[in-house]
Amino acid sequence: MEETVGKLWHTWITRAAQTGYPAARVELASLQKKIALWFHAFGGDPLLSIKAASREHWQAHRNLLARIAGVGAYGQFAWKNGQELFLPGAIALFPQRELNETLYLWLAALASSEPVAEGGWITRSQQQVMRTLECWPGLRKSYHALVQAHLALRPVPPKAVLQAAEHQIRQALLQPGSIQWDDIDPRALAPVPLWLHPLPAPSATKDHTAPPAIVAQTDQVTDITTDHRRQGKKVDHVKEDEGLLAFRLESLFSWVEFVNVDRPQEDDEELGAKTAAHDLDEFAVSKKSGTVKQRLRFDLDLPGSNYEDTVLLDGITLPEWDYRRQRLQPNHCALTLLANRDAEPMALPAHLRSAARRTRAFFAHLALNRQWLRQQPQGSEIDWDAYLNTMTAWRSGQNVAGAGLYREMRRQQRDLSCLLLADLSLSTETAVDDQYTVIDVVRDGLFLMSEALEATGDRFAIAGFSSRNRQHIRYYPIKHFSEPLTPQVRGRIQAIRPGFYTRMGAAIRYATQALEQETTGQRLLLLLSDGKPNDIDCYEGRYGIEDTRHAILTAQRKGVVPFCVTIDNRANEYLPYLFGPQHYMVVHNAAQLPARLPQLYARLTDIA
Amino acid sequence: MNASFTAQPSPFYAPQANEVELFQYAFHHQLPVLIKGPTGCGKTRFVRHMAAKLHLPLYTVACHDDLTATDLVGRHLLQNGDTVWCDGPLTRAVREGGICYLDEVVEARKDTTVVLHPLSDDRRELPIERTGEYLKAPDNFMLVVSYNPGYQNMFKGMKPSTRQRFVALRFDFPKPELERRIILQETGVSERLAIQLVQVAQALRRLQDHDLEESASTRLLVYCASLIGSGLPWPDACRAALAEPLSDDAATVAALMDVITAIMDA
Repeated sequence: MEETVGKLWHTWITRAAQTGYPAARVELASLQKKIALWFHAFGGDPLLSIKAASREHWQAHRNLLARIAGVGAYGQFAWKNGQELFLPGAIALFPQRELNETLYLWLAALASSEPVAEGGWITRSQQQVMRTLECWPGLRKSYHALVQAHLALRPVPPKAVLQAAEHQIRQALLQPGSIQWDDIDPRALAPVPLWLHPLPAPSATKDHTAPPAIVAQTDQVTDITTDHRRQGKKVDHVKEDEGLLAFRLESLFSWVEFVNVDRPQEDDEELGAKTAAHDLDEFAVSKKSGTVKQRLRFDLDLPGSNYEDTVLLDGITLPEWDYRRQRLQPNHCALTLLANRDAEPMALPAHLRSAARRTRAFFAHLALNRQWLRQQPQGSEIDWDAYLNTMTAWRSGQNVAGAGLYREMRRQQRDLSCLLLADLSLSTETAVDDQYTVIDVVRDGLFLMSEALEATGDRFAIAGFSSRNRQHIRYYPIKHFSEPLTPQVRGRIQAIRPGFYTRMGAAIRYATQALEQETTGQRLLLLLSDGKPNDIDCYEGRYGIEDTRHAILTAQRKGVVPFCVTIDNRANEYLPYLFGPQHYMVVHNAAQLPARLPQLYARLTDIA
Repeated sequence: MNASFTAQPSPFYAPQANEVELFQYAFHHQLPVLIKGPTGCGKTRFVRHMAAKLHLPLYTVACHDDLTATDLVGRHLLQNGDTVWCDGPLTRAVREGGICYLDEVVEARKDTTVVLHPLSDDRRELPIERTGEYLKAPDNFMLVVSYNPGYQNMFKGMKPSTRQRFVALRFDFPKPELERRIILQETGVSERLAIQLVQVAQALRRLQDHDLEESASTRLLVYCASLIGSGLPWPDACRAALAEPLSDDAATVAALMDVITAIMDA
């Protein structure tokens, strides 16, 4: 009963004290593509990923209702570091939706300029605004519209001292550059959403990765559905009962709330930690010894062991290249063909249907690409070349058989086989954004590609791979060349999941064998990867790279064209060496992979 | 056949670097030239300009995927019951001297390389199989080919052995100052508009490879400037000549227009 009343009270009071206009709310996630384009066009670094900013505690004056409800004490600010651009997860400040969206446009422009290093918060912000308006004079109207709307909503603080400061801020917004006064704690007043983060610009501080007091949080909380990031803070774990430094063999990272109560050690682990994570604004990370999280670690390292998968064929041996000895070690690797047991026949997932329809239509249209065939025994037009050749030969007294004298428009015969090979190593479990992990993106990519390939009529196969060492290379045939695209195949695509490591060389060798049996003129091996080749038994660094390169060169010699699509932003360091300069593509924004793959295929195989 | 022979007054061309001198050296040493660069950056204009400058006839062939060696070299035609040999653009250029310009050469069929190879090395010969002729190219014959290396295509592309026979020039979009002059020269719009359009181009070119497949070319800028110059309001002109040609995705076009507005709406 108490709980129900409490919940009702919470809902009511939050709603009563709510500022902003939920009806006009625009979300970062839905505008991500637009914002990225704005930011890049305004000169922002295209390698930065755009993320929702963390909610920050803000001690501005709030009215009584807001204080009772505990809302409005937070602000979300735009800022960037070397890797990320942070923007508010959602904006509902203004009653008009367009204005909220314009604020994103404004912030993208503001954040794309180089940060101003000198001066206090107000001076810096004004300078940045001036600079942005100078570069993009067309934003003036939008800026003034935003300022007017914001000023109308800005609360006036009750204290006289703060009122003076508030006046200065208003003036600075109305006429950027007019205020030379920095003697104020930004947190004392309501946040200014039109300016960047009030703390010193990241480049002006020692820590290049984040503004002071905010350490970028790691992936662990991305599974919590939220539109704001949490702040993370590194602290030393206080171990009150320990005075001596003991040798800790298993020191592990784990999440704890820093009141020295270990969340992971509470009874209701799963739920407790998740709820706690949601309620916390700041996570403390400490290095501590213990075995509580070990279960999780093992889960991460050994996802799904053999018993979950059906072994189709065991004991396929493959060679491996040892660059130090410059020789191929025969039968060095053992590959197992596996099928996922949970694969249930299914239709195309709902969220992909419209994209799949478009892709199919696009490829079906392209596949209609027709061509004149010459010297046909029958056809719609006379082949003048053939006719003339025949006539000249006939007149000069040669015996001419009634060869083809017609031209015929026919559907272009595509003479191509393509094998899609997806890297299913554990690293594909990494989050791409708040919603998706790499494996989700790869899965969607495979779904759309299979639709595209089916529409072209090209022969294609799909397979995935991972590895645990040279004895356990796991190869999942998802679709064979001669198999039609059935619900079973879709089920197998749906069932792919991350596991283990990436012994790329062996997988490429096996895939090459499959392609070699194809009789088509062109054979394409399309590898989807998210990182370097690596495996536990020394298959890393140069050894892995050299073996993979050897496998690729061998494939090329056998008439297979390998091409790699990767989402690893650092792939430019090693892919040119592995695949050659024109034979790979880096998709910087992994979320775009599913859309980019069919386009790439069209371009690679020349139907676009 | 898409061949055209042009002898017009020298069209305007603003050099980006030393390409004019290089082209002249290549011509005087009887070397073939390969021009690579993105679409709409001035490759064809440059060749037309050079042909006029060197007082050479220009035979342009726009290559397509059905273009065969026969289309370049020539074929027999029927005339009054007899067969008559008719030269293709390449043969005509070799016979009479001049520049033979193969635009988008990688699009042409593979068998064209057979005729291009002996012409592009020091032999400078064109064998015509059908008539049994062996043409020796005169000193004022020059072979020029171009393509856009931006398109990746695994099964189509210039073979290294072909590429190696050419003196290669890489073109890119002109620098902002130069591009402004080009727009002014081509369209006669106001200085301010030219500067703004160049800024738009700079912003849109940052999007290549990440958000757009191709970026705004100088040609598009000139189109856009002409439209505005003839009285069309800038939002309509920019949408029609810059945003829409760059993407089919409505959301992308809208975002491009936001960026264009941020510059033009001053």
